[in-house]
Amino acid sequence: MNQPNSIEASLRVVATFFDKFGAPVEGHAREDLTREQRSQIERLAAGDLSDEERETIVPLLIRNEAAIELLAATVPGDR
Amino acid sequence: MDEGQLPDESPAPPRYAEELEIALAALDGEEQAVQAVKAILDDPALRRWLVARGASAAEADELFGDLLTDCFAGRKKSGEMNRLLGRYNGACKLQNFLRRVVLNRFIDRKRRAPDVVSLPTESDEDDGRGGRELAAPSGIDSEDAISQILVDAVRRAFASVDQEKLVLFRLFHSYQISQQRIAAMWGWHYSKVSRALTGLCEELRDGIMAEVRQADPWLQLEWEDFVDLCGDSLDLFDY
Repeated sequence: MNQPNSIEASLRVVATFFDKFGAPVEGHAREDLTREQRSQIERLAAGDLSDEERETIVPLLIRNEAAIELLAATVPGDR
Repeated sequence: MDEGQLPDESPAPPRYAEELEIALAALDGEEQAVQAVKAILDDPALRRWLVARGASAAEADELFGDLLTDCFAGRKKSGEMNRLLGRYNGACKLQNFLRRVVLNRFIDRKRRAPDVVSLPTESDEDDGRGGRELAAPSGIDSEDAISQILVDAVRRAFASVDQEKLVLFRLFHSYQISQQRIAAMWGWHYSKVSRALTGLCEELRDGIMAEVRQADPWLQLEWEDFVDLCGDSLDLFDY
């Protein structure tokens, strides 16, 4: 059995489990984003949102998988 | 590719093809393979593992005895052959498969016991039908009680933590965005992101285990078990 050797490694397994089985049940819908939402996400990716603006977009990033997916895709890549 | 030739769409071989071969050979009655399966089920360490999860020694003996029988001689109510070993598909280690089956049976037995009261899960509350297995997430075996325990615990723990930190967590773990990039997006110092993620990981681990213990107090799962079972679920239900 492969035993993750740190809490971070083990949480990565749990995160993958959540992505596959938890998120769809949780209602992480993939809904179309408005132009304004897309713009805010792009500004967040560029590091241009204030603390207050960022706080307002967090619920969207939690409930709409398309939003966090766009954020991940927009951030300048180093992956 | 030649015109008219179909692309090769043969499925990838199972991850544990050798163990699948042993299982199939055992089902065919090949003595060496049968002994290999029996050796797994007779391993005292596996019984100790189940006892450490909350079973009595007598329960462990009985459950593993039944498991051995069902591996080779299970039947459906209709009388049709339904050998447990025939359900193994090589997606995870055979020992892990058998361990998961016996854990599911132990959970099922404890929940049926009149002196055991399990708290309702979210899914019970959602559908109002009072059955954990009824609301299994798509892709998960609805008879796999342990999967429902894992999903419920993870969902509740994820919902209870700071949601902004959870976004950082998902960017890092689910989307492989580096902590440096997250720090740049959030306008935070790298060390602040690192601390937030480390703190959240500990919070999630503690929250998940608290959820497991609250739902089924008699089930003595450890964090390492939980992670292993999540990993096995990803292998077993990766279709």
